[in-house]
Formats: sequence, structure tokens, C-alpha cells
Amino acid sequence: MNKVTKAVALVSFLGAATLANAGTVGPTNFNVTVNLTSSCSLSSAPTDVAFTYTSFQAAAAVATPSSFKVKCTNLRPYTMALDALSGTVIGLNYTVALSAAGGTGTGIDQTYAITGNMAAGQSGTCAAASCSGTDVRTLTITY
Amino acid sequence: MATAASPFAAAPVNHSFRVTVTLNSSQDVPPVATCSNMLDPTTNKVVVICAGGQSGSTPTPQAAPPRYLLHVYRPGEWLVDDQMGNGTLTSWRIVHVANREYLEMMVGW
Repeated sequence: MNKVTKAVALVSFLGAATLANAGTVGPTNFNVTVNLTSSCSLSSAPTDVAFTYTSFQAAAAVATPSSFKVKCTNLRPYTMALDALSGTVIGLNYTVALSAAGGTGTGIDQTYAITGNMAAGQSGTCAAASCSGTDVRTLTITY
Repeated sequence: MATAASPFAAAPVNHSFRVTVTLNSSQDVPPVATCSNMLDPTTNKVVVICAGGQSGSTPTPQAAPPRYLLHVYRPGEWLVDDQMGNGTLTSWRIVHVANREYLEMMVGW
């Protein structure tokens, strides 16, 4: 038997076996399970809350606000808080506030701000013509 | 919308930020003229040279030009001018009153 004849015989054999076991198995359901651990992160850390103040100035000082971005799992609720809402730097009392107390995740960045205010008429503590001071505060996001 | 966090809360996310304060201890004040004067005994002419700002400094370009008050007394009236003008002084003296020094000049014109 030449090579061509052998190949034809093999195909015929396999075909006969398949036909002998032919049948239908009904649709079978299977589960796709997903365990999603929701998450929140600061996709953009808070920038500085920056005050510029002149001793005894007549008007309250409003700080250059800090901005930050939160990215949370879609629909995941979260809250935001500051470790303190007031403080004192170089003898000047200030207050800070969040633009929102919390939110619900959307899966994309959500932008918030930390504003600052400094009452008018304060002296401050400064032995030179100009002084600078820094306070460190903490933003906490709970979800 | 603020919504309460789930009771099955994950570990909170903390991040610190800075509150920076720049304090200027006083308002920008107009430069105070620092004056020196010289009496030429031969001509009895007093030359008053004033420079603005702090002693030894010159006014910055954006600062107001040096200003000072020239209190001139003429019998019966006080004349107050805020810019130096040319004139002929017949006499002058420094008068210290209430922590201020006044240059008193007798001016003829």
C-alpha cells in the first residue's frame, strides 16, 4: 500500500469511532465567582495649605487651599477627617476644614480641598521682618 | 454626598500635609526719608539730601518715591508741604519732640 492509501484508511477509522459515540450533553451551568476587595487610595496627596499673613492685618487671611484626589471602588462609601481642625504656627491661630466629610467611590479620581482660615488682628511671633512656620496635619480616609 | 463608611471598614488611608505660614511682621510702609544736611558757613546755604527707605538703602523701583514733611512756619500760619522745593534757608535747627525729630527751617521767599 502506498502512502496515500494509508492516510485515507486512518481517517476512515477515526470517523467510524466518532459516529459510534455521537450524542448531546445538555448545557451545563458553571459559576464565575469574583471576590472584590474594595479599596480607597489617595491618587494625589494633599498639597500644602499656605497662609501669608501680616501682623494685625484687618481682614482674615484665607489660605491657598490644599487639594487632593481620592480614588475608591465604585459605590464604596468613605469618610474623610482631619486630625485637628485648628492649630497655631508662629503664634498665629488657624483653622482648616475639608470641602466634604466623605463620599461614595466612583472608580475614578474625586477631587477635594482643604481650606484654611486665619482670623484678623493677630500679632504672631516673629523677631525679624518676616518669618515662616510649618505645622503638619493628617488627613484620614476611612472606608 | 457624605455617606457612612461600611462597618467592615478596611484599614484607613492616612496622609500628612503641611500648613505653612509666612508672617510679615509689619505692613509695607512707605520709605522713610533719611536726611542729612550740611550748612555751608560761607553762603549760609543748607543742603538737605534725603534718601528713601532704610538708612543706607535706596528705594526699590516699585516703591513710592521718598516723601517727608517739610514743616514751614511763617508768622501767623503753618505751611506744610510734602515735597522738597528749592528755597533759601535763613536758619534751621533740629527739634526733638515726642520721639520725633523735626527739622525746623526758616525759609525766605
